[in-house]
Amino acid sequence: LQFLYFIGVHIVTLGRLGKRRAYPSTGGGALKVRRVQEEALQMDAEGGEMPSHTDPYITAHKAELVRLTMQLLHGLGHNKSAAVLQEESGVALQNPDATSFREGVLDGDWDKALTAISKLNIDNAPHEKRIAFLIYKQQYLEELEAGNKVAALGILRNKVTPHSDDSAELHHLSTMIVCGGKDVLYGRADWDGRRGHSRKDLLKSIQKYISSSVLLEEDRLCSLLKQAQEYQRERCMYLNDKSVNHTLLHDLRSDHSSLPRYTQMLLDDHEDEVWHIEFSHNGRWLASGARDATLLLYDLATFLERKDSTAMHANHVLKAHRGSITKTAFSPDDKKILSCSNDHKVKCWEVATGTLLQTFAGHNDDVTAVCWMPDGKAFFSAAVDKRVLKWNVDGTLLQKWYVPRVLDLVVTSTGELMYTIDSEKRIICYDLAKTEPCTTLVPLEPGRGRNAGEPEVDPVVFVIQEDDYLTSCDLSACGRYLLCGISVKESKGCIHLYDLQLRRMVHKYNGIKQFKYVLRAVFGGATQNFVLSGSEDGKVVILHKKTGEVLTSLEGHSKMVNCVAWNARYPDIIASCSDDKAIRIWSPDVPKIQSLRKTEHRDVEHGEEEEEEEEEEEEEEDMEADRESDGTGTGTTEDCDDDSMK
Amino acid sequence: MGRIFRAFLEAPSVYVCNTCSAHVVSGDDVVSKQFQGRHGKAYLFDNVVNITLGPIEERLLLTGVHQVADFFCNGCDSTLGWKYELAQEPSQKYKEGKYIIEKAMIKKCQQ
Repeated sequence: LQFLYFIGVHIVTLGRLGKRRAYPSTGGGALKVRRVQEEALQMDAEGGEMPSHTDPYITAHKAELVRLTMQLLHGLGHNKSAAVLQEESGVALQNPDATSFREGVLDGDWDKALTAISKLNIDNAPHEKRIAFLIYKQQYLEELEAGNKVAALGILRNKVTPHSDDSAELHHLSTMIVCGGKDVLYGRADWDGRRGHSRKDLLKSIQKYISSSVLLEEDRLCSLLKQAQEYQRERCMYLNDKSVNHTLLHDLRSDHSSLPRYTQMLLDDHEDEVWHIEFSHNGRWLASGARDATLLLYDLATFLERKDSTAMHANHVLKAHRGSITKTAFSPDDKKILSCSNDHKVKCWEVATGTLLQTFAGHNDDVTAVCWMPDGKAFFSAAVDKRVLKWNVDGTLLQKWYVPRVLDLVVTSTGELMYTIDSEKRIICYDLAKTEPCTTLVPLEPGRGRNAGEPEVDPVVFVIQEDDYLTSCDLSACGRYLLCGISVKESKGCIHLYDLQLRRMVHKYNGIKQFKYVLRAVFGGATQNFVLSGSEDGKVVILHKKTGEVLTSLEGHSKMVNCVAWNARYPDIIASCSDDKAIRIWSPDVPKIQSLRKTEHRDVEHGEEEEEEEEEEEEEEDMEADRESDGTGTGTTEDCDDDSMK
Repeated sequence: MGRIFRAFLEAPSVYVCNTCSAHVVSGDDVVSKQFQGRHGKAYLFDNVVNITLGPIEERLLLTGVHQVADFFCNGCDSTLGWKYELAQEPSQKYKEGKYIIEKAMIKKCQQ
């Protein structure tokens, strides 16, 4: 019997791997451990099969797992361990020709690589030709890099050309002979030299033509693990940080506690409804604009350093506007801030001192949006007077366009594209470079010819037409997504997410009460995977961008929340402003101040009952009016709809 | 009361609220000009914007029992008129979904 077992050890290649499973990873009784170890020892002595409690996954992928482990060991430099593993398990890393091919490519020993390839018997003529072409091309480029133009030419003629079918490609390669220096060569060939990644890239491109069981992909185990971690990140709803290197030892976990949920600070300097709020790009300043035309600037430095919640007052109280403030915009360097208002003007202030630098008067109606160009020297302003103006920050008007009524405007971070949402329920994307010669930025009706006098080039890149009114918009940092508030007649509005590459809506977010007011929704979170919005019932809602799920709903404001902001530099901090004249700053930490703790995660006790009362009053008035008008009638009426109350 | 969303209409002539100049209805959406409201002449319109509906009530009007809902201007909360939700008489069904606005509450504006 023992003799049979000895034979078995040669047949079954991976008996030894099963031995590892004898060490239990979790508890289990001591008795069980001993029995398992005895079993393993017994098997060792007799050789043979794996214990029955081995994970079937391991059994199914035995050889592959060993090969990946060997590849990893080689990659880490533990060649001796890899050799021992090979001997113990009886599994070879890969076909020795494949190994020699790989070495040949990485060392630049092209003959070795080519002979190895021919031995691998790929048995597919076009593929073999392509592989040879790629190898010779690399050889050619390396010769050029070294400056051996004659040798390079020889390779091009005798080796590369016979293996290529694409004359355009050959032509492109031959132009490289006349390249001046290495840098030009790198640029033109899209190649980074023999010391760069080019040899590894070459290996990768040839990999396509060789089966992965013959030649293992480079660092395959690591790519698998990276994929697994990527998957974990995707599934982690509450993740709010940017770090990419999480431990492999356990799944990425996150929960509610990583989101800002507690009011850290209550700022109540405003004396009227607060309509707009914004953090600076460096996260240090907070600007808020109110209905009574006051603009406040708060310096959050001490709060951010010490998480000190002692009540803070505005550093600068700016009262130059005469109409409600609709939007603000910090300059890209955070030194200046623009404010636009219903007094038809835009004003520019210096953040540090609060001085008014410039007033821009060019609009005839409420200014709805301002947006900086990324260089911080110019900005756009849009108003409902059907104009978009481009200004230089020193006060000069650079350009004026006639447009449909624009309700909000954003410019991408590269300064190439501008998006507007207008009163005709459209999102329009403009190519800023092409807007220079135009005076009108109206999208053409399809089928309509171009009038004389209009420039040749159409600045409109695309238009998305919606069925309902768009109220506000926010552009994601990557420039790919646009978040718009939607107001639906006689119904609860919602928020739409538009993918600007696909040019259509990709998500609809409910869970927010938006009826007839402008509530600004913004992107937020360390990786911008959250959507933050206020609501007409006083809540601040955080939703997950991809799934649309409401992650948390924060209560504290007693009236509707008009605007919210997520601090880009300190993703733990969010701010919200409301009709209750207060601004709240939220973070994940439980506040130290007793009074603030009461306002979290509880039902708001004081409901909004004014609306109902108003309606009742109106009804009474109507009834009185009816009694007066009873009995009047005119001759020629098609229909007579006097309300006659019984 | 918050920053009220103002919708705009892009027609050549638009009726706006007398009190706050918010756009209410386009001149193209007049259905009939020969109606009577509580305070005098009224028009029947389609497609009204910038309004909030009140609760639906059943009222006996001269033309029969109707279910109507008063509506108010978003900008100033003044009652502009009512919307016909349901008409009992088949001859009155054409009014359903349309709005009566008292002429005194709005004024015409060219754009």
